[in-house]
Amino acid sequence: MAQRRRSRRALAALRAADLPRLCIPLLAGIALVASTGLAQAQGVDEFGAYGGDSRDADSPQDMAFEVRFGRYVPDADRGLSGTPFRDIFGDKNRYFGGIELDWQALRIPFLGTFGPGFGIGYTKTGAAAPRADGEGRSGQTTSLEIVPMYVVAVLRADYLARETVIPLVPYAKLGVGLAFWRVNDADETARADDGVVGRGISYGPQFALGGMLLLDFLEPEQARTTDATLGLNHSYVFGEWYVSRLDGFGADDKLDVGTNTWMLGLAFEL
Amino acid sequence: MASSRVWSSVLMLALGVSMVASAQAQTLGGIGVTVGTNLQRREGRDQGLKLESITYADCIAGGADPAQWDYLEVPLTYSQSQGRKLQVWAGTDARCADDADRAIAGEGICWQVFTGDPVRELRLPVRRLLPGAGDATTPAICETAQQDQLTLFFMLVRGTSSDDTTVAQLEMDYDLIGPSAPTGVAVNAGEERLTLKWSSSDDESDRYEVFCEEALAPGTGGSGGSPTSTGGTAGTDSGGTAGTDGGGTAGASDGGTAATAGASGGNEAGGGAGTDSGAGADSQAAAGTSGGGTSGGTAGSTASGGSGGRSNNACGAATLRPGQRPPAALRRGRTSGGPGQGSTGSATGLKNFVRYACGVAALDESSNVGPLSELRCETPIEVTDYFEAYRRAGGTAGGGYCSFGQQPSGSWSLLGVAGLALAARRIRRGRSL
Repeated sequence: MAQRRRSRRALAALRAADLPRLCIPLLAGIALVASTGLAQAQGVDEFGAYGGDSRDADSPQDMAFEVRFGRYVPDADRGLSGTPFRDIFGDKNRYFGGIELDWQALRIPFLGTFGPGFGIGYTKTGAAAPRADGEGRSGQTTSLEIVPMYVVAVLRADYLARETVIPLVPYAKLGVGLAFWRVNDADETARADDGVVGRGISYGPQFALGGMLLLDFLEPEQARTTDATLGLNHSYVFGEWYVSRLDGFGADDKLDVGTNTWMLGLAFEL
Repeated sequence: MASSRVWSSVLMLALGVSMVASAQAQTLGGIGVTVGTNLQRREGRDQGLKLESITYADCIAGGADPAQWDYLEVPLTYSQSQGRKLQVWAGTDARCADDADRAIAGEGICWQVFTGDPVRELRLPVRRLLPGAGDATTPAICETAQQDQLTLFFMLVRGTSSDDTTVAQLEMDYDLIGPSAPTGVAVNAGEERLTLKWSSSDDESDRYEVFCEEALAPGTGGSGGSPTSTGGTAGTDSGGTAGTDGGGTAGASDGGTAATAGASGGNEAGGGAGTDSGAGADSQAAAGTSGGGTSGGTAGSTASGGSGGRSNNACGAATLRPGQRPPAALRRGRTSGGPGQGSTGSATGLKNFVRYACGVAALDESSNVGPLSELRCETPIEVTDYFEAYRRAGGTAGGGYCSFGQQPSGSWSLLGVAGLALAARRIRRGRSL
């Protein structure tokens, strides 16, 4: 009964939102899937999950883990008299892969979770180094490797996804980023003409805004079984706008290997 | 009396012990030799290689210096070896174990590698074990032996017969041939290095080595026409100009050096007069055709055309030869690669602005170096890597991971301080509650 009431409440909320008519069948479908999925398991046996309301039966949720991928073109020409990064590596997209682990330390009523997160990734860009005489490119590669890391405060507004049929979780992250970088000259670390070695650390502020799509509705039973057996509460796909400005908080002796970009990935709450 | 009784007892005891020992030896092995398992090879040999194998590196180890050769050291034990000699035969056929069969099999099948008194540790130069080595111990055998299996037969002989003895055997294999030469070699210039790309279709290729040597001068001119009485017409392309009346002037095109008075012109290295091949065309170079005797000029009535020179596109070196095993001293880089995979590698430690001829050779799992690929010439040049470009554009970052430089800018500092103050205030408030 409680489930049916909850589903009716959700549908009523949708009507109240005055959505365009074309969206109503779609949302009704989602609601149907969600309401079907609600009358589900509270335990698991050799035949799978069984019994009760899953949302009341979720295992404890303390963490989120993300696997992320995105475009990463560092703002390395910022503050320079020329554009050496663009001149050497070009305008092509470069990509980043990484992971993030968040501790969902607080649950804020009617909003979502809040806590610290740590992420780390890797990206590398390379090209044939130009000849010093200006006559085209040499056969020697030069590359820039970056290992971005960050510590951020993460707010995930999962109230909607938990309490309604809307499977979306908006979120925001704010914190400090730090990146190890290294320039390679062929297979060695590069050195400038004055002998300075081509590697260093850059740091600065960082934030991200994004949204996660809860995937549990695709296979509700499987989701509940996974939660009951592995403690994996929810799975999501996400997209985010990611901005890091790793210029040493305005210092001019840092190579700004931050970026302003998009990221996609999978997230799992545990 | 007492002492003589003691002595006789000791002698009896000794005799008894020796009789027991002798009986045991006969019982265990009869007459013969047993090969121990603790084989030894030269120091520094690749530990991953079988002790019972011979590679090209094993074969050439030490060159002509016997102290540096690779020896197969075989521990041996004997039973009833008194009055007998130890003989060791190598062969590819089981018949080598038997005197009569060995004679029938012939020299190419069985060859003797040792004869002498039985020793507990037999040291056999691995070079001597190879077919066709005979008594030769020069490295020349390493260039002719190929790849096969062989067996060493250890036997005790009295006179010439080993018929009544047990023959011990040791299975070995030898492989002195490297994979075939990589193809499609391309070279690109870097700073104090050259980068090479190639492909290989030989499944035995396990890894590759890059070899480089200063290239011979390109574009050396052809030789002049031979003296004529009527004078020849001018040569074309890189060939020499034909001789003039009474003696041709040498061709000096494509950077060649001029010769005079009908002498043969510059040779491939721009040195002495046409000595390298007699026609200025090095045997391994494509050069020479463009300016050779055929195109070196239509001579006068009795003149002959000039001899050829090395064209600008030619690439040659004094030591490195395509198709031949390259000398290790000219190795400039190593790389890994998979069977049949194309690969890339670099020759490092080169001088900028010096022209080098480079090639690639593949190695198999036994570290046998194959023949050298075709040569490609290129000149290392200065390049600008990203970090140099960054620094030239005014960037000041770098110096290592422990390098922290300037202070943050004022606005961010203020923001940081404000954040800290806010945090401290919240903590204080939390405590007061």
